[in-house]
Amino acid sequence: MVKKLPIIGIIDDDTIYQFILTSIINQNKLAESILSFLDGEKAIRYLMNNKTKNEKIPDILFLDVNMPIMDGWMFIEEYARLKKDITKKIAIFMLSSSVNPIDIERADKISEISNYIIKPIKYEEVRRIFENYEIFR
Amino acid sequence: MDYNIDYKEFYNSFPSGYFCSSPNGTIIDSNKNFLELTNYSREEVIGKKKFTDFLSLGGKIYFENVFAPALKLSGNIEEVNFNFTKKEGTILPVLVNSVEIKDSSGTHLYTHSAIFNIAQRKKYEQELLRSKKNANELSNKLIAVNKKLRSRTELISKQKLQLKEFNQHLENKNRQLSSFAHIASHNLRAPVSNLMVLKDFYKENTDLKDKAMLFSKVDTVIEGLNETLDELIESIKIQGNKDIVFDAVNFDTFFAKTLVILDIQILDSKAVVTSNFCEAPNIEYPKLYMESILLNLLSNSIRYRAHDRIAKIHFHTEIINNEILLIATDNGLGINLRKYGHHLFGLNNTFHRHPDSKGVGLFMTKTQKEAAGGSVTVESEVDKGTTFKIILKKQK
Repeated sequence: MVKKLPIIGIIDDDTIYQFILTSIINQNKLAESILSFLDGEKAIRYLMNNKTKNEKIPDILFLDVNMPIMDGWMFIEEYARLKKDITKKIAIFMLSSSVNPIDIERADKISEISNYIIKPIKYEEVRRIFENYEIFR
Repeated sequence: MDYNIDYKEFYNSFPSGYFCSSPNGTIIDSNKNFLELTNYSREEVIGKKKFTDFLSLGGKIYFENVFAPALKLSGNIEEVNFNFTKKEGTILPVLVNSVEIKDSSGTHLYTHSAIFNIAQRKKYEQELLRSKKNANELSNKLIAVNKKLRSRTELISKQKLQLKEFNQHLENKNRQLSSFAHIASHNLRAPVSNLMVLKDFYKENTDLKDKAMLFSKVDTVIEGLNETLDELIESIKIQGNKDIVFDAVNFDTFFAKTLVILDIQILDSKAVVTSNFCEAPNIEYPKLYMESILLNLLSNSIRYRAHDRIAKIHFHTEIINNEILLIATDNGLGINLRKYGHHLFGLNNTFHRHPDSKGVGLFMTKTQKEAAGGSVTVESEVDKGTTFKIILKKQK
């Protein structure tokens, strides 16, 4: 039996980074589909509009910290409020170029965040996430 | 009761010296007490010595010029202080009371003088004088110490002020450094790591079309990096500028220049831009900073206008607490300060999905403000408008 591939969401204002992560995932055929959002607010709106449509909700979310309009932290706040209405469990991985220990500690304390990954993410890490994301949900 | 008083005995044992002298001053009689005070025998004094023989040279001059004329004039004199020289040469301070005895026709017969020993009192007086002198010295010393303390307090408060200024400067530098760390972490690290990955992709890929596409991405990143570096260099220039030159700035002139620069944007946006700098028409301020502050504020207000109403933008100055405030008010989109307040002045932080948003202007404005001394505050309500207040230090 072939395991069903996950749906991926990438929330990042950096289009180059969107391209890189998408390329890694596509080249290795890790995902069924990839949703791309340029800021947190767009992603929240999408989740809100599709909260009961499991086939549209991502299994894994890669969330950037630094973004305009709604940054990663604000997204998590909004998501925590919305979570109970979303029928599918989402594993959220926070991605940041910040090596600031305060940011890392902050992410550790938030239960909605599965892990904090420092950019640039390597293929190995992406693969590991795809193999294990289900235990984070 | 009847007492039989022996006047001779009374005269001799009278508790002060007493003598009687003839008009030429020769002592013709004295009581025993006077002889005991001066240590002379009766034979050595009576008929031989004059009043003045007991006096020093200074005493004699005083006697001739003051004592004798005063006595002659009023017939008596009281409580005159002389120093009597005793037989062995030591000094005895005394008070002298004298009275002239005259007959019925007014002829001067004798002079009666009473001599009071005031050695104790003199000693006491001298002690008092000494104490007074000591007290004066002490008081002078205290005044000097006080003066020194006061000047030291002044010095300390001056140093305190300097420290405070220095501290403020350090705090500013610190804030700049931490914002730099933030910029380095986010604005530089991210594109560089993107470049690294793109480079790997490029190497691994064999398809020429893909390679060309990857290279165009590299190009985009490099352009962005270059821009970020330019912005950083600009802000370092501002922060490193220690000898900021303060120019005479006329708000009306500078604002008119800004309007010319943004002419097309104002026309396109149909914004109504007004200004009133009456309250503080002039300021001493770095020319370039003022140009850039006005440009940033005005272009922000135009860029973030609300499209469902005519944009109204007003600039004016106020003087509060001896400081000049430049205030820019608009009726634009506004900013949710609760959400974005802490990002407002960061580099490359934007809050609107606007193609021209780069997040540079306010970062520069704040950097320039802090370099020249002063601060920026902002009041805003979403969909109502924004007011920026720039506190410009008033130059003396």
